[in-house]
Amino acid sequence: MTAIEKKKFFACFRYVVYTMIFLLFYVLQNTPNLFSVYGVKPILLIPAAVVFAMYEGEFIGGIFGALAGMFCDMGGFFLFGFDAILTLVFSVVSGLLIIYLLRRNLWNAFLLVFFSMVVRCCLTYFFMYQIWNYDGASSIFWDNTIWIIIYSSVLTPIYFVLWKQVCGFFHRKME
Amino acid sequence: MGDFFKSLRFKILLGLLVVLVAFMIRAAYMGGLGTMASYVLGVAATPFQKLSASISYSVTNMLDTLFRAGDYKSENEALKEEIRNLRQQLVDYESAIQENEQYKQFLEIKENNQDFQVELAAVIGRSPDARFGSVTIDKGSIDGIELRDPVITADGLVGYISEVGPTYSQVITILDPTLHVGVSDVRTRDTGIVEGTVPLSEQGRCKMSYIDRGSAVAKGDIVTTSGVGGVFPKGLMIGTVNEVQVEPHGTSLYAVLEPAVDIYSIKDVVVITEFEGQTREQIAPGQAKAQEKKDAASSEGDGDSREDSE
Repeated sequence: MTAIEKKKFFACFRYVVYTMIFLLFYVLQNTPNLFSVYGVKPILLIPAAVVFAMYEGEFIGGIFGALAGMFCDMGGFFLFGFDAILTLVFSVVSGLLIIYLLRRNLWNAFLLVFFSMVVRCCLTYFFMYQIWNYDGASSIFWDNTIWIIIYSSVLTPIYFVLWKQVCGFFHRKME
Repeated sequence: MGDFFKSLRFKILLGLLVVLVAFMIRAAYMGGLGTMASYVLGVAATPFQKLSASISYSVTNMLDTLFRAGDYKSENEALKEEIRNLRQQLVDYESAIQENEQYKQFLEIKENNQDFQVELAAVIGRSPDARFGSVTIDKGSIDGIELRDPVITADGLVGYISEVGPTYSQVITILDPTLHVGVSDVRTRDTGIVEGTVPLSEQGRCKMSYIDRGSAVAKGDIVTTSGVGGVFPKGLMIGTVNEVQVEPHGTSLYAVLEPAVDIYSIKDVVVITEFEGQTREQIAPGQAKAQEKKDAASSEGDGDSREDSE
């Protein structure tokens, strides 16, 4: 295999690996009892997509963001496409901010994940509970939604290290 | 950054966004039916989810056994003592006890309800922000499951199918405020509607509304489905009455029910795909959500119309 062929192979193979990693996150996210702390489970796919876009840029990041969002939609109980659209937007914004404004470091990754989770979880809460005016719906926000945001955000270092290693590996191979 | 908005990449991402919006509009229009994308992703991901769920259950059981060994030992001794006492006092009812035990077996459900066509399914997914204990199960349309099929365990009613994919389905539970089930009290034969509320769902309980003010419903009464409406078969166990209160408006009573099924820890379920008296409503595109709202509205109406919601 020539050097050019090797580069082409890794350029294609990385997408298979990325897809498998997002599939793994989907399975882990929806597996009953896994990572559950006092009934709160973290959202893995959206933070993973946001951090991924920091390494792969707005285009690849956006496409895989949409894929991650579709996985979220599939396991969730809301309109199919809602998470896909949000995650696509979060990923594109994340990729562009890293290109034009921010440094690619753990703190910025945490901020991007945190704000993405705040927007996503607040919108989900609003559309799933608030607008239906259920009695005591605010308790879901304080007892569940807030903790999902926090729990999902504190796992950012895992995604940061994972994508640093995986994307870094493929970038080195393609140089 | 201005270059990005003029680039081909931006146009592709914009195209993708439009496709996703179209998916969402279609999902809203089609109600419980998934889109082609969710079908494809679902078929690809279900085997991995099954594997992952079974591993998770094994690990959870192992850890549970390790951490709660002391509790189990004392609980076991207490149960043994209780069994000894019960055997002494209720020898005449031994056969009834055995029959009751057999009810807990899924196959007995079938034997005692000859009209039931059932499909066994395993819980393979719980989303982090799942509503009121909603779950994903490993059976779908290729197994004959359809929208609104009742979902039960050996203990009683869990809920019904809210979305069907080829190899998976989503189940909303009796703790969900959008699900309304026509029920009756076995002892007094008073009827009502079981529905979820946010505060009660956090305790794993649900509410039986629209009980007549003069009703004799009391703590400990058993509540089962009334079968009216054709969505759920008659006689499915819902739970027992925990407390009875007067509604704030004062015209009727409501009861807090302790469901027979522990909704938040179910692992295996039975989907009733067919039963005698089942009404298969043909839900036209776009009417699924409207039907749910109509059901909810009718349940809040007078005593006659509320039965329709079941």
